[in-house]
Amino acid sequence: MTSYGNRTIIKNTDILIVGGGISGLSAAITAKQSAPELSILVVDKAVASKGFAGKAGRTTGLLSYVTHEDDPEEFAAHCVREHGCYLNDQELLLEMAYNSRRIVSTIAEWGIGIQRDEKGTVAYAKWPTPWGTAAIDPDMCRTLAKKAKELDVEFLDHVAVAALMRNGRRVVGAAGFDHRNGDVYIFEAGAVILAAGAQDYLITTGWCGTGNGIWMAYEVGAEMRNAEFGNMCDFARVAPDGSVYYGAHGGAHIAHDHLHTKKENISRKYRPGFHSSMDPLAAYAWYRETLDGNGPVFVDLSDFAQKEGVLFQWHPTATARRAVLAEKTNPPENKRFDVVPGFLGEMSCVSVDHDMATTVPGLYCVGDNSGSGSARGGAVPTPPGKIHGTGILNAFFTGMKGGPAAAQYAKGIRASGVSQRVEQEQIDAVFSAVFQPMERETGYDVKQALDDIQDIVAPVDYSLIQTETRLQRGLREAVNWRARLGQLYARDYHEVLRCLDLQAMGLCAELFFRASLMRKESRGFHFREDYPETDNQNWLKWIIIRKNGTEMELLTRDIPIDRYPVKPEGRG
Amino acid sequence: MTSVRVDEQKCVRCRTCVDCCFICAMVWDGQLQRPYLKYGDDCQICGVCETLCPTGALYIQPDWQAKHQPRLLVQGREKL
Repeated sequence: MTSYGNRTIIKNTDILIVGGGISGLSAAITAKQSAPELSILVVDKAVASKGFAGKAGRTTGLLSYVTHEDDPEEFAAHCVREHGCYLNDQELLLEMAYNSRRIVSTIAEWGIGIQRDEKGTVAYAKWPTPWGTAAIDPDMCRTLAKKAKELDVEFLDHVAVAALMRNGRRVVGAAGFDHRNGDVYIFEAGAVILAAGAQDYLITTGWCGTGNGIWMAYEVGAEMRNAEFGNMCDFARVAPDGSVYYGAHGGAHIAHDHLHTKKENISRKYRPGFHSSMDPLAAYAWYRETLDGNGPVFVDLSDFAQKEGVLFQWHPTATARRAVLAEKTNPPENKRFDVVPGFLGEMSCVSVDHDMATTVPGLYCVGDNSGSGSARGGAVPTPPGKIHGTGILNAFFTGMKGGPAAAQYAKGIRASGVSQRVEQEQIDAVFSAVFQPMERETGYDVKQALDDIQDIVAPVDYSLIQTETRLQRGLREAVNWRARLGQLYARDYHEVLRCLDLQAMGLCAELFFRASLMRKESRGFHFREDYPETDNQNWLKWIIIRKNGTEMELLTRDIPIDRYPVKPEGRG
Repeated sequence: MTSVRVDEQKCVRCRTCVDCCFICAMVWDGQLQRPYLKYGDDCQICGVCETLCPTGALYIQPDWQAKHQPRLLVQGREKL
């Protein structure tokens, strides 16, 4: 039937879920619970059937939520004022806040381990802000996969979904391939849920979303929202040999409130007070002082008072993993070390409504794939934005919303009897493009291409501290880089997979630079040196991007701030 | 490049290390009947394969220098 790949296998299902991490598995379980008669298939390039897909198992296992001591409305108001800077969908945020304890109870009922005190109640570290952080089993996806299988959810491992298929405007399935042997898969589905993670450009370890779900949604015409907030960052530790360690690998997250030069504490100078996390203003402290010749910027652990922070507990599985990593990274104890701001990404701009439905019929999007696009977090690269552990909460929350909503849609499709048949012409077009890099013996090397795009998106003064000139330069470089992707060559199917990742990285870089250029103000994680003020008169707006032919169309949409409970000064 | 050391005396050929590699960097060598880190550049050094190995037969040797370095922390050509 085809001249590409190996065998061709056609799969028919009511709901296809692309991605078997926390949000995909939560969507599968809740969809099946709400409509047991529907068939549900979870597809992932890793082994999702055993709970090994997604990033959950690699996290430190922190679950932040609105505890019984916290007021959900205070939590939402804090998030709007301090983090989201009024760009939140406040209704969705409030819904997450009010459902947060119910989510914790539900996942405990599913069998996921959460640390408890001697009375059996969930033990959490309380922040001075309206939330707490509990220790959760990082291997939670193993429990979720087991639960999903008990409910007869089906799995297909080692298969990468490459593109969505349409019938008119409606999404009716997808196409993918087994990256071990090239077998080709056609999926015909009543509804598709994307749960394929965020875009991190593979800049550092652990944060390894490659944005394929963003690319697939954009290509079928889904709207993007909040693409300018695709710039999660952290401080990284610089070891004496020049190696750089981020996050769980002995990074320097604590640096954001404890930055020093040889002259002074620059955290107090640039960003006084308590902050739950890093943001571009903390990066600016490093940037300005370094430019002014006061570097290197460092953290001194010997004067770091643990009592100033929040004391987390860890799940025993997380403790064991941290011990393995500590042995490999030799983290300094009670010493001074240099730090640099580290760009992470976490771009997650697929726009969704309160049912996690995209603007394309039949297509839903949950978890990191639509974190910023949902606007729940506002002017931050959600999740986790500025609250550690809300990434996990967001994955459960959105999965539990998207699953039943997609089931309802798929039931309608099944009842209507409309065709989910995918046209051969569409399939041929997808696979001839996907496998083209394998037909070349030379060209643009995938490793080199990855290095090149990282050099375009990672620099602090392109991604975190921006000006019109530098953004224009970044955009130009991203567009030129994308033009070279037609010359990629792949030596095996694994490298074909990387070619798809690179394609998604190019799209995301362009979306990020174009949206950042349009927003002529500073707000949340969007920090413009040339427009340093927040402009509530002109910019209480979401930037929307959609595909229009071969062009990117950018427009703005007013935030319904008059309808929301929390308003900036001067707006009633 | 990041690599894996396998103690072949301890390895029980259960392939858990291959299954749990979420980035698909670890593969099974059918001829040698042992795992190997075919795509070492992709390894996220998460340590999950090491912790899940039932016999402690694996050791991931990281190459931190090969990971992203801040070679272009500031792209705007202002000299630091």
